[in-house]
Amino acid sequence: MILQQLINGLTLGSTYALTAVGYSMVFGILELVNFSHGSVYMVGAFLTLIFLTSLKLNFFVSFLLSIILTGLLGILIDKVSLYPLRRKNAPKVTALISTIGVSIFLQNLVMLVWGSETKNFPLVINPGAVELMGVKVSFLQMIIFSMCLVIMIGLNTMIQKTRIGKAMRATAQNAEAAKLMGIDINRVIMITFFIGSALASVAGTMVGMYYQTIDPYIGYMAGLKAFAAAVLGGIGVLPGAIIGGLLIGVIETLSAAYINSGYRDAIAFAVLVLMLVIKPSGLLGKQVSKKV
Amino acid sequence: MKKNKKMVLFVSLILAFALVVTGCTSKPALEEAAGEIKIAVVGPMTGDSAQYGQAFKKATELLAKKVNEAGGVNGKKIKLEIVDDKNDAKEATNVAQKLVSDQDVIGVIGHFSSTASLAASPIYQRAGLVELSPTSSHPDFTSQGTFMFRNVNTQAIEGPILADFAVKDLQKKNIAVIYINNDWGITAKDNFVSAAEALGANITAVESFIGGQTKDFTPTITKIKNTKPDLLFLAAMYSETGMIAQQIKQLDYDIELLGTSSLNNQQLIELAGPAVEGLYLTNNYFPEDPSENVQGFVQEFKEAYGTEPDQFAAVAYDSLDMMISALKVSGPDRAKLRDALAEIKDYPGVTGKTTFNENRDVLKDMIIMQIKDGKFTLFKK
Amino acid sequence: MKLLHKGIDFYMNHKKLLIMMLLVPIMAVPFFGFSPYMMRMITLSGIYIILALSLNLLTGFTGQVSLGHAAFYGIGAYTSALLAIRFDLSFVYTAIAGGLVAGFFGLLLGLPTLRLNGTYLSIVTLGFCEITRLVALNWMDLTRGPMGLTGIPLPKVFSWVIDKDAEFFYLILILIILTWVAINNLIKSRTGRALISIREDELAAEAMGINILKYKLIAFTTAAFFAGIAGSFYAHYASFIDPQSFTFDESIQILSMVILGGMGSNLGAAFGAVILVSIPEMLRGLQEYRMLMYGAVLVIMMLMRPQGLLGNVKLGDILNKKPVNEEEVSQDA
Repeated sequence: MILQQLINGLTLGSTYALTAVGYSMVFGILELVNFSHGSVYMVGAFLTLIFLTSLKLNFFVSFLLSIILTGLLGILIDKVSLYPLRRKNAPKVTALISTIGVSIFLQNLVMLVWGSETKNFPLVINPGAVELMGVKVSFLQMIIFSMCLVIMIGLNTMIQKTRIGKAMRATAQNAEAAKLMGIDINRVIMITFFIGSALASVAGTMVGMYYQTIDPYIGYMAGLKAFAAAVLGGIGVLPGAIIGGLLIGVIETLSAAYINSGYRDAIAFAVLVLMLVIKPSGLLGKQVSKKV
Repeated sequence: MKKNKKMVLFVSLILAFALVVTGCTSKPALEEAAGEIKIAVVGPMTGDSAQYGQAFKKATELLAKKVNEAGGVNGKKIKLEIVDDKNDAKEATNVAQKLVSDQDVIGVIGHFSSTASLAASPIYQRAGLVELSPTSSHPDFTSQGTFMFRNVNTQAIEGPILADFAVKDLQKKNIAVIYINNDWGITAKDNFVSAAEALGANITAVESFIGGQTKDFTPTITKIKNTKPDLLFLAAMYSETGMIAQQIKQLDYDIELLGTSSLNNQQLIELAGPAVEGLYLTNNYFPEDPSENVQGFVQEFKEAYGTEPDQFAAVAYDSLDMMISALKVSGPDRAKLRDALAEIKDYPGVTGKTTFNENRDVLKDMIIMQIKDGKFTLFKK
Repeated sequence: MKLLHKGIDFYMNHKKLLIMMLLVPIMAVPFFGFSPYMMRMITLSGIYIILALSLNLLTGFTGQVSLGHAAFYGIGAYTSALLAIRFDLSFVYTAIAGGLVAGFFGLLLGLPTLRLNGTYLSIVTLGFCEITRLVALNWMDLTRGPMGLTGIPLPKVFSWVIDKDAEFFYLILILIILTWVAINNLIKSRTGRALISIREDELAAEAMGINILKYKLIAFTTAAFFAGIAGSFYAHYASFIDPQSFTFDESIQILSMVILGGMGSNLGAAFGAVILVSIPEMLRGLQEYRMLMYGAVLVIMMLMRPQGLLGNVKLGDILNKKPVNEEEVSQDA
C-alpha cells in the first residue's frame, strides 16, 4: 500500500508544483506574493471546461484558448491591481491586500456567471492504467507528473538560455540597474505574468481532469498549498517550487494514510514550519545577504 | 499639502459612499406597507455553499409569487427578504440581529447549516422570532429554545434507518465510513456507526475530510480499500460524494456505496455519472412521485428555472408553505405564529407528511432509492 | 483649502487632546437610540479595533507581516470559553487567561522569527494559523470540533452580569482604551523605539546593540496577548464559537484593516477596522453580488491610498527593508 500511497502523493504534489511555479516566478521578478494566483488557476480550469462543453470545441483547442486567455488575465491583473502600486512605490504588503481583493472578486465573478455547483470535468484522455508490482499508475497520473518535469526544464532553459530569460534574471537581481541597461522592465513583467498565469491554467486544467470535478473554490486551498510549496522550496527558485510541491503532496498523503485524515493539512503545514525554522530560506533558496 | 487634500477627499468619499448605502438599505423600513407580511429567507447566497442558499431562494420565491397571485394570506401579500449569511456563524448572528431589529419581519426560514442556525438561535429566541430551518439536523438545535423549528429528520432518525438497510437488506457485514468533518457529518457518522454495530456489523475504517478544503481523496480511499469492506457509507453532501465516487473509479476500485438524503440531487448524477451508478440513499422527497402536489411543484419549478428541484429546494418550499399556512391562522404576529406553527399536524408537503413534535422536530417517512441507469429510482418503500 | 490645511496642522499639533475629545461623543453612543443591530455592529467593530491595534504593533511598528493573527484571537476565545463553561469563572479571569495563553503561543511563534524574514515569516504565521484551526477542528474532546462550543455564559465582572447592549458597549470600550494606552505607551518607550528601528533596518538596529530577538518576542507576545483578550470578549459576546470563525480569511481581514488604516498609525488601524466591518454589512442588500463588490472595494481602496488612510509613515518596503523616502519616515503613533 505504501507504494500506491506514494504515487497518490506524487500526483497530488505535481498539481501543487504546477501551481507553485507561477507563484515562484512572479515572486522571483517582483518580490511580491500574488494572492490572486489561486483564483487564476480556478479561472483557467473553468475556461477550458466552458470551451470544451458549452462551445463544444476540441480539447486541445479549448486548452490552448484557456492558456492564452488566462495568461492575458494575468497581465490584466497586473495592470489593474499591481502596476499602479508599483508606480506609486507603495509598500509591498499593499500588493498583498490588493491581490486578495482581486482573488475575492474573481471567485465571486465565476460563481455568478457559472454558478457555485461543483461541475463535472469530462474525461478527454483514456483513463487506462499500467500495473507495476501491484501498483496502478493511470495514464493521467503519468501525464501530470511528466508535464510537471517538462515545464520545469522548459522554464529553466528559457530563463538560463534565452534573451528574455536573461532580462528576467537581470530584473530579478536589480530592477533599477536592469532599466538603466536598457531592459524594458514593463515588458519583462508582462511576460512574467503571462507565463505564470498561463501555467496556472495548465495546472487548473490538469487538476480538473484528474479529479473530474471543478468548482469556484478550488483555487483557495490549492493557492495556499502552492504558496507554501513555493516558499518551502525557496521562493523564486523554480526547481525549488517543484520539489516543495512534491514534498508537500507526499507528506500530506502519507499523513492521511498513516496518521489521521483530519490532521493531514495540519501535519503538512507543521512540517513546512519546521523546515523553515531549520532552513530559513527554503530548501533550495539562497541565503540572501542583507543589504546595508 | 497635495497629499492631505487627497486624503480628505478620500475620507469624504468613503463617508458619502457609506451614507448612500445605509440610506438605501434603511429605506424599506419606512415604506411599511400595511398589506404585506415580511418573511426572511436566510442561507448562503455567496461562498462555497451558495448552491444550497440559491435552492432556498428559488423555491421560496416561486411559492411566494404563487401565493401572492392567488390573493396572498388573508388579503396580505407575502414579501420575502432574501439574506446572505455565507454559511458563517458570525455572519449568521449579524443577520439574526438585523432581522429581529426589523419589527416587520414575522418569521425566518433558515439558516442552512446547523452551525449557522445554532449560532443565531439565542438571538431569535431572545427576540421571540420563529427560526424554521429547512436543513439543520444537529441534535442540539431545537433544544436551544421554543422558537427553533426544523423541517428535516435528525440524524438520530436517519442513521438507524440507513444502518438497518445496510445490515439487514443488503446483508453487509464489513462497512467503512467517510464523513464530512462538520456538525452534521459527525452526528450522521455517530448515529450510523452505533446503529450498525448494534446490528452486528463490523466497521472497518472511519475517515474524515474537511468540506470545501479536501479535494484529494486518494489516500483515504487507498487506505479504506486495504481494510477490505464490502460497503462504503458516505456522510457527505452531493458535491463531495461526486468527487469521492470519481476518485474511487480513478483508483480502479469497485465498492458499493450508501449515502444520506443529502445526495438527492440531479447534480450528483451530472457530476459523477457512471461513478455513482448503483449508489443507495435514503429519501423523503422523490421528484417522480406521482402524487399531485409533488408533480405540481416539480412542474412549476421546471417552468420557472428550467431545472428539476432538489431536496433542498423541496424542503425550503415546504417550510415556507407551512409557515404561510400557520400565518393564515395566526396573522402577522411573531409569538402567535410560533404557536400556530407548533400546532401543525399532518401537513401534506412535497417532502412527505409533516408534524412537529413537542420538541419542534419532525419525523418524516423515509424511502430507499438507488441510482440506476443514471436516474434516481425507488428501491424500497 | 487654506483653512483645511490649517485644520490638519491643528490636528497634528493637538492630536492627544482631539482624541480625548472624540471620546466624549463615543461615551454617549448608547444614548443615541441605535437599534440593537447597530449596537451589535458597533460592538463588533470594537472587537476588530482591538485586533487591528494589536496587529499594528507587530506589523505596523515592528514590520513583521503576520498572516496568523486570527489564531491568537481563536486561542483567546477558546481558552476563555472553556474556562467559563467548565469553571464558571468571571470575565476578568477568563479574559486575562485568554490573553496569557494567546501570549504564550505568540512567544512560541516569535521564537523562530529571528532567522526568518519577509515572505518566509508570513508563510510560517500562515501555517501556524491553519494548524491552530485544524487542531480546534479535530480535537473533539477539548473543543467539540466543528460542533462548536455552545452556551458560553454571559460575561461577569465579579458579580455584575453583563447582558445589555449598552453594557457590552462599555466593556469593549474599556478594553479598547486599555489596549490603546498600553500599546501607545509601549511605542513611546525605549522598547517602542527599538521596535521601530527593527522595522526600519534590522541590521543597523543590531549593530546599535539592540537585542533583536528580545524585542521581536516582546512585539509578538504583546500583540498575541491583546488579540487573545479580543477573542475572550468575542466568545462571551457571541455565546457560540466554532473553528470556522478563526480562519486564515480572518487573519487577512485583520491585516487589511491595519494596511487600509495606514501601518504604524493607531487611529488609522481603528478606522480601518470600522470601515472593513461596515462595508460587508452595507453591501448586504446586494445578496449574491455582495462579495464581488467587496473584492472590488478592497482593490480600489488600496489603489487610492496605498499608504493607508492615516498612514503618514511611508514604510517603503516592509518586506524588503528598503526605506524609500527618508524625510517622510516618522515615528508617529
